[in-house]
Amino acid sequence: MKRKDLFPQESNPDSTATRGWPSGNGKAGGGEEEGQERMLDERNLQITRWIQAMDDLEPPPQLIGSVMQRLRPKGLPWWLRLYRWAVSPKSITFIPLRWAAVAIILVGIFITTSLLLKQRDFQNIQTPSLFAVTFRLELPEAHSVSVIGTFNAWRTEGYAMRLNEDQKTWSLEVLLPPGRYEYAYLVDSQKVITDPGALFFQSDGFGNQNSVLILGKSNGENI
Amino acid sequence: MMEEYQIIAAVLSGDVDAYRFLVERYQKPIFNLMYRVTGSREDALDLAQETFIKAYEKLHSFREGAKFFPWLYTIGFNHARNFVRKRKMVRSLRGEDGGERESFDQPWHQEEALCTQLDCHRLDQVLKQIPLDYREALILHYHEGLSMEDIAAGLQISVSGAKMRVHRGIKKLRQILFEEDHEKKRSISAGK
Repeated sequence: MKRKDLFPQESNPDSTATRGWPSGNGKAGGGEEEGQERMLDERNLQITRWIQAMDDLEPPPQLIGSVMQRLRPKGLPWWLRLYRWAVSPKSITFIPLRWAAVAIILVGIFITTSLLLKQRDFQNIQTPSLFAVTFRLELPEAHSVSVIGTFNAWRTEGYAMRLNEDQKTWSLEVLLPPGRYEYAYLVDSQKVITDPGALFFQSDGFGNQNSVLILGKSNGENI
Repeated sequence: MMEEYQIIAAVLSGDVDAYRFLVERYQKPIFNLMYRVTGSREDALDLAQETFIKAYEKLHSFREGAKFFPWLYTIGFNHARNFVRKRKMVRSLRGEDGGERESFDQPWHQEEALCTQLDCHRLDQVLKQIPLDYREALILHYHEGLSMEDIAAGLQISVSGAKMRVHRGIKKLRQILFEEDHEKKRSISAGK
């Protein structure tokens, strides 16, 4: 480091040292200023040499011993050990037997989980009981009869009733979950009639009536 | 000779004895720091020991790649300051004066301490008359040979702050040693 760099305060307007030097009547010539600056530099240099050459005290000989005596082997904090373990590179050795054991355990876990899930799904399917409902209509003069309702979105496909052997009664068995349904019979694809055997009827909002079927959780609740 | 980072790595991996190298290497500047602050060999010894023990306990937080001495010096300097604060508090509770040892807390300019012919032994006395922060910056720079960056790290200040302390420290020493204020006074009176 250059000596000039060490003492930039000479040009510092805040420098009391600069202000502290004789300035005569304030109109000192350039030569005088240079002389003052040189003197300051010499003094600064002298001070730094003194500090440099300053004697150090020798520390007492027992210092090292007493420090070392008081030190105990100390493990690293757990978080630092964990961090170092996490960031340190690790080697993976392939041992077929060990990997086979791991693979067997993983397959076992997979199969057990799958079975448990399937069993649960099966139970879920079985839980909502379906009711076998037989719709019957005695109308021997009809050529065809279908049952339509809220359970089949009022569509006839798949819900055509069959004429029984007595040639009088039309019937169809349908599996339905518990719930409330409105329905009616479509005769000869033209005429909609209510079920004469129904207990309840409800207006369809267009001046017609629908039959009402209520299926509860037990047979005793079916209406 | 082992490098510092090797010693530190050895200590961190459980080799307590490796720490001896660091104590040996830095016991002198740390002991002298404590002596400058306390003015007592006995206190300086205690504080230096405690500093090395503290540094050992905190060694896991030492930043890899940094220089050890400024880091150690920071611990020592803070420890010394705490010691001085406590001592002042105790003395103030007892109704005592600050004491002559804490000259850095006194006005730096003392007429009786002025000297025109100086040797290194007397410099010790004059150094006590400037504030601790300035004094330590000067010693770290000119006596221990630390760079401004390392001084800044050791004193926990900015590099520009370290430069300022060194410059102001020199200026204050010059004013004391060369009686610049006296010259100024003489100059003013001569001007009149």
